[in-house]
Amino acid sequence: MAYTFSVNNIPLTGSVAVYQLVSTLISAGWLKKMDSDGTTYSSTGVQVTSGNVGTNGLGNSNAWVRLQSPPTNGGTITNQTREITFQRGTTDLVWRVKYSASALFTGGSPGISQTPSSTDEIFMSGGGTDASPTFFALFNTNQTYHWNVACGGFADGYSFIGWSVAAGNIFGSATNIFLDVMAAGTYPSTDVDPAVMHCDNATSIFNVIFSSSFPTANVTNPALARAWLGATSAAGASLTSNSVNVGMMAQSSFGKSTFISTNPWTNKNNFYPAMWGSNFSSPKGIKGFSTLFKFPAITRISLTTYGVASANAKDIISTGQIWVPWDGSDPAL
Amino acid sequence: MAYSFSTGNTPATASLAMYLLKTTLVTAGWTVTSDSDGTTYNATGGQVTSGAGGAGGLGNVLAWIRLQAPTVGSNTREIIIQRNSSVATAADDQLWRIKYSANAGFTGGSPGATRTPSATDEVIMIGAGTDASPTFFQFFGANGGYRWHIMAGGAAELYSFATVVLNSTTTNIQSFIALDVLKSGTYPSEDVDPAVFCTITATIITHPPPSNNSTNPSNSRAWLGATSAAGNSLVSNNVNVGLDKYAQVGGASSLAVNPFSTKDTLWSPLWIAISTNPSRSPFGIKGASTIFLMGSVVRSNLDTITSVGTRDLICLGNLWFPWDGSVPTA
Repeated sequence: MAYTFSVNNIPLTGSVAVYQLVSTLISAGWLKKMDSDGTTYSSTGVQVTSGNVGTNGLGNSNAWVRLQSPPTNGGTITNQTREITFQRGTTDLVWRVKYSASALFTGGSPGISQTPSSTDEIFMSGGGTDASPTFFALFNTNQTYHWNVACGGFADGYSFIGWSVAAGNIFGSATNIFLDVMAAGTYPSTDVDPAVMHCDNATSIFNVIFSSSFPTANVTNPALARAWLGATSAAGASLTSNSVNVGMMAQSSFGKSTFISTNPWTNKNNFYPAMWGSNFSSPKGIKGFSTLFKFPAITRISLTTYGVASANAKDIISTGQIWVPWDGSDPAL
Repeated sequence: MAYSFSTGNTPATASLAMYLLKTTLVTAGWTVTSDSDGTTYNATGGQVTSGAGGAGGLGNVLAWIRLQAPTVGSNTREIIIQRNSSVATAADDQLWRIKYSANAGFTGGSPGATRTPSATDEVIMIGAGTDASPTFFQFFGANGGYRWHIMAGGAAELYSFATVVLNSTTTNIQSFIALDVLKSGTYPSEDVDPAVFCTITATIITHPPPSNNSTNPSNSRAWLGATSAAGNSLVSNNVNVGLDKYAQVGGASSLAVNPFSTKDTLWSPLWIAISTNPSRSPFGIKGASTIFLMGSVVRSNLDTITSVGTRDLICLGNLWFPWDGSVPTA
């Protein structure tokens, strides 16, 4: 797994946490296309250089960044580039996050306190309009959590996750922001956007997005895990709507909170990719299989690490009931 | 998929059915290494040349064939099929004994005209007794009452194969034989035999997967091969496994077609042994199937799907098997 990591952080503020995510995404290949520190707008994305307060900082009211992924292929769109905007509210805790599957944030009237728009944009966190945005408390009180970022490279479809764990509380997972690009071969080539985008701040988020049944209705602000994104006009004839909540599903006999066994030959845990799907009236069905998340044969407590590539690699970590890439370090609590 | 097929057969006897299996496996790359028509034993194979009765036929008392797959990884798998010891009635043709060797090969024992060789790692899949005094199991239904479909994979499919007895009236699976060599990367390199061998007389999927072993027939067995080669943690081997589904989809649980492609979503299911029986070991995830696919929509037996090629998959017992492109008939 060619992931780029920034883990075990205790960021001073939510703005610093978001900037750590931004800088790690850039290290993994993403581009910062536009930004504003809340006072000065840059149409080429060179204004925001830290998560601090003041000039060039993301820690200012209405400061924002526009990020663009490197191109990927596999769905309908050749060289698909996904984009995300992060905009800070009046505090470090509240944020507005938008996602564009491919149309890009090239519209609207971007400026010092206004993000650009996209014809296929989805609100993941916050609401309102670009001119009058509203925000969602995506982060908890500053310095009360560890912040972990894992950003995939080309082989991982540039999937990424930023996730926090309440300091001293192993069960206190909170902020979760991720893009999970589906594994090759698990979705049709006619899929406009073979990916799932997610934002939330909840202690039991993974209980929300995976269960014994797929979701049947949408929730908003935060949007949780959304799929079948991209332009409705590009949807197939059978796809009368898009942007619906999806859930992760484990095997019938094990996974999630039910364990089966380590492998009898190796005594090691077995992992397999999670399935994404929805049970809406439309679109309904299996979205694809995760690149980012894996279910285990044996459930382990949060922050347990494991070696997949080699015995002591610590290259995967439990977030409770699902496992995400890890950098090999000992996780901090 | 480089499969060799023999489908839609209505063999006059079970011996003819088994001979079709033999010829299809040979076409796919397998070798007959020894055999007997019940009267004459050939230590290098070549004695059995038909499924009929009489000289050179498999349709004789205690006739048998030893088949060897091309080597995959470090495994050279073998199977032996032997016909029943009686010819008193037509039904006698329907009883068989099948043995499987994961790697040791059937090079032991005292093979002869009516006696199969033995292997140090052999597992009796149907039938019982000894090579000198074998007993048999009724694997086939009444002659003419079933279709016999055979799908034999090549090198890309790791020489996995399946053959199905399909009731001509109900189109339900009566019984089937399969060797499912697991997909690369879904099992550890320490696995002595990354494969599942099946001799089943019912539909393939059971939920939850079995927690006890069954014998004669042995159903779907895994963790085969020599116990002596087992890891420290593997105190026994040869246990029943089953194909697992997802909680809301797969097997008999239907969800939907993909909204973009309007096609069924298909995936390779996992073979597992569940851990609710602590007296039985090993258990866990064996690996992912090569030959079977599970789907997002429950379909009827004999439904086909055009996946890569025209009608290249067929629904049998809530699973998708490789198919030859023909229009299946009941």
